[in-house]
Order: sequence, then structure tokens, then C-alpha cells
Amino acid sequence: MLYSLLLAAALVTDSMTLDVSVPHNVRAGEPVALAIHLTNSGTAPMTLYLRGRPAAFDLIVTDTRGKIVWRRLENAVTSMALQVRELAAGESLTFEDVWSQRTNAGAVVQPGEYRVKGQLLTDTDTPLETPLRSFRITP
Amino acid sequence: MAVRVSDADVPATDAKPISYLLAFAPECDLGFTRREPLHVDVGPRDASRPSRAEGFHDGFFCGKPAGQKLNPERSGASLRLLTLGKDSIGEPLTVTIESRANALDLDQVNAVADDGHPGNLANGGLLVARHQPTYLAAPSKSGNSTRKPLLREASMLRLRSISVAVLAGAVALGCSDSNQPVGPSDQSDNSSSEPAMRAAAQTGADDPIALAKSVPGFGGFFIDEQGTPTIYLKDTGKRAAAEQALSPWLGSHGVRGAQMKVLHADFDWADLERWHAKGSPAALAVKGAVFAGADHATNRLRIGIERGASAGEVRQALTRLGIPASAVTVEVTEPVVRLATLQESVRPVIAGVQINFPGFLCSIGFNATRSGTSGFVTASHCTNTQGGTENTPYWQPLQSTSPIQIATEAVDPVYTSGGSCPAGRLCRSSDASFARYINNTQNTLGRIARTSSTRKQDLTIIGNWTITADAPSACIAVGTIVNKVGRTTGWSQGRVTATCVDVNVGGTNITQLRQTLVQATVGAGDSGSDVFAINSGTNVTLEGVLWGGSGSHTFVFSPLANVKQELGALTTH
Repeated sequence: MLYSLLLAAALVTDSMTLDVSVPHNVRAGEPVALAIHLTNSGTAPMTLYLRGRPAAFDLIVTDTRGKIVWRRLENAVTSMALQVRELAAGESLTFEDVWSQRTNAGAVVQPGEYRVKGQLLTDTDTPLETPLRSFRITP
Repeated sequence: MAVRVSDADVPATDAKPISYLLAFAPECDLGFTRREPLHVDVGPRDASRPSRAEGFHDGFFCGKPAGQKLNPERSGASLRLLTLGKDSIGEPLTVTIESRANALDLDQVNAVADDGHPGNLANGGLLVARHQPTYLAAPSKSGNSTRKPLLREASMLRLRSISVAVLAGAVALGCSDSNQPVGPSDQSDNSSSEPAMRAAAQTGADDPIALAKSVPGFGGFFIDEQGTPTIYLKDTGKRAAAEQALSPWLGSHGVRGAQMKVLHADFDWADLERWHAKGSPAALAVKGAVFAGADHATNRLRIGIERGASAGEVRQALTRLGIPASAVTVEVTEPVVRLATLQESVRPVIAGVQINFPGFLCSIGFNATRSGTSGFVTASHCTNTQGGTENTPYWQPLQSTSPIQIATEAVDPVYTSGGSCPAGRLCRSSDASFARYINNTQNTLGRIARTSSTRKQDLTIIGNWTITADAPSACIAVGTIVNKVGRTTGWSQGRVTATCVDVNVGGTNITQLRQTLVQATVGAGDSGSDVFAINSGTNVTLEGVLWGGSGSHTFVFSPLANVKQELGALTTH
């Protein structure tokens, strides 16, 4: 809980909000739509430095104990261009993908509660990270 | 601080005053609260050479010694002799033409700093006092066990030695800012301490030069490599006056006057300053001249020239002005150039530096000639559209800061399906494209920017890697150590972990065929970087072009053979 709060606190700055969206409940076997939303919440334009082309973003699904069950960029190779993206005040970017309810090894996951967080890779070692969001896979 | 720089290579709007190099580590100060102004006149450079640091030890300008990747080629026994420290050989590392018949190859002069990284001390020797150290206690039989530096704790000896050398150099190469030559009355052969007392009253204890100038027959003041305050006097019998004049400064540094070393001066400092002012323009007008300065550490006017420049021409120019030949020392040194980073403007353009095309930053892989056209190779995805030629414009480092376009995309084959390409995907065997230089952009074939270490924060260019060969095979052996230099993480080095593997590019339908994976640091913006293997010294074999990575510690590159297969014949060096 504390970890989650700390993460969340780190995401909202004076000029940027970053979050991940996921349906609260998803039926077993159905694709899970995931999306990272980045918004320039300040009053001035901001410049983003994003890794890759297309911009590389990660989505990490964990169980309630924090064990990773799926990671979008697991062992992925991305291009190493540095995208310089100007974001006007109020402007948002969305990065979307779908999780098939399978682990990176290909196994189908069991119904239950899961969490997801998103990461935007930048030109530093520290990605921009969303808070954890919970969702449930129902039988 | 007054350093005059005339560098034909650096546009006025782009140039950083070399004085910024002088504002580094506190070690440089040795306790001075006010740094003595430095008067070094620095000559212009050959415009055909890149703006970069070249040869000068960082400490020359009071910086910390640069870390440098230690490799076998640079750590030979002969180089270890040049390590500074308590066992330092105490010899200048530069070569005085008159005194050394067989000049050392200065490119080979390196030393290992305390952190184990060799730093290029080719010119650090300028800063090392030439005199034997003075000790508080007599040396033991072993010659060093009782050595104690005067100005720092013993534990700081090695680092202090470098710092002292730097200070000595800073003092040695000028410190004549006051423009207050010693008056005739002060030069009388009078051992009275009265002038010294006046000086002490009028100047701060932090300015030993100002204090020392009041001593009749003063010829220079510096701190030798053992930390011993040392003064040149035309009449060494004036020691008492010198001790008294410098007593405020000596006292503030915990040094007794008797511990100060006195050397015989052949020339009065005021004369050296006058000859410096008179002779510097003439000396620096000689082709290949690097610096001119009155030198506290040698009691001479010191002129530095590049290898191959004419020492005789410098001497003649000074003799014509009435400056005694015996008052002049001419020595070989490396040219002074502006330090630039991989992310700054670098001309001539070399591999590894940042390029900008609309919306993105990448790195230059290598310069090349293709069908008689001069250009560079970078990644295919470092073009407006990956695969296909759309005349992508390039700037270096940024359009916003350097709006003159340097190059235009010229060759970027399209990605195709079929054959060995997986179903539903588009393939090529290299993520590479060729751009031709435009607007007479200066560039140098066969050169890769070289930084001092593999720390990814180290982006300052200190020299070049030289491409001497192209890798003949597309499939380099697993385990081979290769390197890359790119705008984001600089120089990194690691082992090949997989070779000739087909790689799907995340987030796309592209597959790169027969690629090479390396366990080494990479970051966004390194796309397009050169990949090379070190042969010996700074000679390298070009291996390919970096385009991707997995995490921050694995990069992927397209082998040079694949690049040539797709872009056509390329001359790389």
C-alpha cells in the first residue's frame, strides 16, 4: 500500500500527469485493453524525450503479491532513436496495447485480481512510471 | 584570468572561452582563495582539424585527471614511469627540443591516475616542476619513506602531486596579471626586508606572486611537485627578504620560511613579463605555435609548438625582437582545442556525434565515401521513414542551435518481404542508411570521437579512434569485445553475445536479419552509432552500425558487411 502511494505521488508533477487505464473487470480469456495516458497538465509546453521509434512503452502485469506475470517489453529489442516530442499545455499522449491473459511464457493466467503499471522509456535509466491499477479477471 | 584563444575552427557564436576549462576542481587551488590570473597566449589551430580536446591533460587547466579505459595497449611499463606520485620521476613529460635528441611520441605518453584510469599526460608535463623535490626530513636510504609534502597530508600525496603540478603550471604559465612590474628601487641589491613588509601589508596572504614580486631580483615562484614553495632569486642571498615577503602566505599554509626552496634566477621576472608581452605575438604567428608564456617554474619564456613546427623560426622571431635566446625555451606540445561533447557542434564532423532530423536525435555511425560522394552512415530508422529515401535533412547537433543543414539522406533501401523474411514481416539485413554531406560540411573520414572512459556520463571528446580496417565478416565471433560511441551513453564496451541472429523490432513489423547482440550499455539516441573493435592503441576495426537495444545493457548492431551489401561499396577510412 505504501509502495503504491509512493509511486502515485511520484507521477503527478506540476506539469505532467501519467496514468494507466484498465477495465475493472475482464472475463477470462478476453483481451485486456491497457493504455498509458500522459498529459501536460501545466500551462506551458513541455518537451519529452522518448526512447525508440515508435516510442517504447512497457506494461507490466503482476499478481497481488507483486510477481510479474506479463511484461510487454520482456526481452524485446527496440530501436534506439531518441524522439523529441513537444507537448502543448493540456495535450495528451496515449500508448495502447492489449494483453492476451497469457504469461510471457505463453501460459493462460487464472482468474483473480491483478495489477498493472505502465512505463514510458526515456533517454535516462529511469522511466516515467504510472501508479499501479488493479483489475479482476472473472471466470 | 586572461587566456587569449584564436581558434579558426570555432565559430564565434559556438566558441566557449577556454577560460571555462580553468574553473574546475578545488584541488587546483591548494588553498588559494583567489586564483592567480593566468596569462597564456594560445595560438590558432589548423582549421582542417576537429574541435576537440587533443592531448592536453585535463589537469593542464586545473581539471581532474580524466578517467580513461585501461587497456593493455596503454599500460605498458614505459608508461607507468610517467605516473605521478611519490615515486614520480620528476621529469617534464613534454619534450624540450633543445634537450632531447629523440623526441618521444607524445601520443604515447599516458599515465595512470589514482583511480586506475590512465589519463593523457602528454602535456601535463608542462605543469610538472622540473626540480628535484625538497623534503621536510632527509630521505631514507630507500629514498622515499620519509618524504612528506609540505602543503598536503601524506595521504593526499598522489592526488596532490597532480594538483600541485597543475598549480605549478598555472603559476608557471603566467600569473602576470597585475601589470605592476617591480620598480627600479625594488631591484636594488638591498637585503632589507622593508619592501617585503610593505607588500605584505598591501596584499592579501592568498597571493604569493604579488608578495614575491616585491623581493629584489625575483624571478619566479611556484610549488614544486613535492609541494615545496620555491622561489627564483637572482641573488640567492636575498632569501631572508623572500621569506619575509612571503611570510603571510607561507604562514597561512602552515609552512615555515626556512622550508621554502630558493633557486638561482638567470632573469628578473619583470624582464620575462616584458619579453612575454613583446614576443608572444611574434611567437604565436609562427605556424604550429601553441602557447607562449612567462614561466615561473623555469625562469624562462616558454613557447609550445606542435610537432613538426619550426623551433628555429620561433627563436629567430624572438631574437629579432631583442629577446635573449638563453631566456627562451621551445618545446613540443599538442595543439590546444576546444573541448566538445558528443552532443555539441563538432567540425569536422566525425563518427559518434549527435545528429538531428525532424523530431529525433541519433548518432553518426561513420563517415564514408560512396560512389565518389562524401557522406555518413547512420541507422535507417534515423530517417523520416525507415526504408525508402525521402531526402531526410540532418543537422549537427541540433537544428535549433546549428540551423545550417549538414547532410541529406541519399540511400535507404526499402524493407521487403519474402525469402528468408518471416511471414507478415518486412526485412533487411541492416538498419542503415547513407546521407550525403551538403553545404561544404567539414568531415573527416575514418575518425570516431573518443571520450576518456566508458562511464556513460563521460561525453567529452578528448580525441579520436582511427578506423584502420573494415570487418570482413558479417558474423563476428561470440565473445569478441566490441565498442560503440554514441551521443547518449558515449563509449561503451562489451562482449558479443549472439551473432548472425534475426531480430524482430519491438512495436513494428520489421525483422532485421543476421544481426549481432552485444552486452554493453546503450541508451535512446545511440541509434546509428559506430561499432568497432580496438586493434591497438586508438586504431580500430569498424564492425557495424548500432540500431537497437534490449533494456540498457544489451545493444544490437548491423554488421558492416550487411551494411555494405545493402548500401553499396563504402570507403570508410
